[in-house]
Amino acid sequence: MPDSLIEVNKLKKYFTIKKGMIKSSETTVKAVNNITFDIKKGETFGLVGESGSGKSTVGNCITGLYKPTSGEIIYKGQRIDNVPLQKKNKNKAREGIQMVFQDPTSSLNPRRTIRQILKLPLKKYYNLKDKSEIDKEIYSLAEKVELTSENIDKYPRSLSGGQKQRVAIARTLACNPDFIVLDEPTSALDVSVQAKVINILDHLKTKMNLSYLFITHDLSLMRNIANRTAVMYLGQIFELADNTELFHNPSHPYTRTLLSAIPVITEEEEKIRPKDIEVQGEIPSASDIPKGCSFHNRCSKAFDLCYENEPDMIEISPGHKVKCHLYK
Amino acid sequence: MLKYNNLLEINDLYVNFERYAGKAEVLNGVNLSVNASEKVGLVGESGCGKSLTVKTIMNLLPEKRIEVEGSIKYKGKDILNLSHESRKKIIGKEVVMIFQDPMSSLNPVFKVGQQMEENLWWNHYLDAKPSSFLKRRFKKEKREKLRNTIIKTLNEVRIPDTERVLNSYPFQLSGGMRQRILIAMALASEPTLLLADEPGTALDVTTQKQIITLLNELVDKKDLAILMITHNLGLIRETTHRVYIMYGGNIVESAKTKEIFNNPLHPYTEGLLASVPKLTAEGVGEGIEGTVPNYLNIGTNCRFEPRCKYATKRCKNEKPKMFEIKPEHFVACFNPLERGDKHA
Repeated sequence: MPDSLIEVNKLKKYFTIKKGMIKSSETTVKAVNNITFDIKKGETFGLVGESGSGKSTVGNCITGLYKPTSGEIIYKGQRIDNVPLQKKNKNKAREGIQMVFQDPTSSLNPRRTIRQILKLPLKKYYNLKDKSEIDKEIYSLAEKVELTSENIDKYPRSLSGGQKQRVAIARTLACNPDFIVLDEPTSALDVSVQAKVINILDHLKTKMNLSYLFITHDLSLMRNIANRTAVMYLGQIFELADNTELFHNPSHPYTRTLLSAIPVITEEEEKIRPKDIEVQGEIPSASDIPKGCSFHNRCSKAFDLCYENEPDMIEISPGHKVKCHLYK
Repeated sequence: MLKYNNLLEINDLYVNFERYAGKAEVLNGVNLSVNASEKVGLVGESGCGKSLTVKTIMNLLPEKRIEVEGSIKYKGKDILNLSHESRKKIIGKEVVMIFQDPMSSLNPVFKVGQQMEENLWWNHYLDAKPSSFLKRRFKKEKREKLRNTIIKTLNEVRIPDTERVLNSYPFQLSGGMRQRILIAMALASEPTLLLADEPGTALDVTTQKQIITLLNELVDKKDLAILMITHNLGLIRETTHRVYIMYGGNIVESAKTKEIFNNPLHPYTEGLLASVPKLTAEGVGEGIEGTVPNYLNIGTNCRFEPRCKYATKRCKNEKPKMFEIKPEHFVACFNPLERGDKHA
């Protein structure tokens, strides 16, 4: 496909945990279990799910922080999952992929000023040598993320959470990316600050031709920013659809459960929320995934088949895929 | 039983911290009341003084370099002036608190069962001296009685498999389970007022929904009053009767929940409501410019003035007072949003 920027094919990431010294045993945690999706150019692709569903692992596999167990990740027609990250100059293939992390406090070096934080990627990725050129670029980056120039010589500790997250965004922009993985970039922030950061991200996307993989557990936020959304549960994609389609016609019982649990603030929203379904139980550990459909023990619509066979991904309408036995 | 109209009444509460750089005036005249069996919400951004308010009620503040002025009346008694002993009979027994992070409020080195036992023991034998308390602790009869009470309370918060849970350490349980245990511990002493500090924030939406539903049911069943602190406006809308909006150590607006959500009058409330992402995909709004104020050497102006779109000259010099703009709708602003209404 010419228009897809990232293709993820049958991606698997297993972690093995060793227990005990004498009678050692191994358990496998299937964090990501056979998922396939693609992200088109200029698109915001959303990944939602509860904590422990493997959303962040997918993001980390794409950026190369984890090496996938199997499957392939294709970026601009090139396989990147088997390119080692550490070796010098070998990471050219991944240069356009950058990441923004959840907690801005721990992702910024506390001993460096904002200027120093932004300087290094500018030197490396833009090959800027001249000091005045670098300074000019730093100020233009700060302007892009709406950071006032008086903050540039401060340390991260003297900035607020929202400002720190904007510095983190500026730092990724300094690497000249065309694809950014946003791993819960606003979940540590207040709503009023979150709105600000989201607006900046939205603005930058159109201005700089970026594509995003947006990872969050906040469905209402996802509704407002993503073009397409995938719902993950225990390492698998349960439902994938265009955003409008997904929220107006949620088909998988898990998606409906998630939607029904959101606290809302207007009456119009209440009408959208499914009411026929109730939340049950908690997400099981990924080292002990239930047999058959992994959601069967929390699903109010489970029947015999769900306990035995794993359902396949079915396309119920163009672009709307569901992994559930209810649709056949 | 006598019904107290104002179960908890906070009048002009000021809390100042003395810092090397100067005086941090955080709480600046907070007025708040909770009636018996009423559900009240307290909303604001982080750093607005919500938690500080309840910590003052629960007497959890550091003792040094701090000034507390004003009064906190519980059932007509000012708990700030009570002696340590008599305050202990109210706080932790009649007024209890649930904290945000269930992991850090349970002791990681003791089993859940032990912690619940100790909690119950203190609630039943508060007057016992520590030495006699230890002797009595190991009498078998009493121990069994305690165990049964604990299992009863655990069933109440719908924890399955109670024996296993009681014998496990907090880290072996999931977040939702830990929060349930904290709720059980808080309700064990049969309180009348429950202070819930962000009870669902650290949890997933699905678990949060279950916890909040459970909390609501228990509060209704036991006829408690609850003061719920959160920054999740959706939760407030679905659970409470009345809301206080807090900004910069002041209450800026208070009204019935429905009224606040349909007709916000303070610019801050409006900004907060507009920035909540909605399922109807109306975008995320503009957010509110700037940040929560620095409380060091803060002036006497309206604390929201630097971030306010509608600020006038008057806001720079004077602090607005709360006034009743409509029946049961109070707002502290010189320019409340309905322009036609009269000013303070």
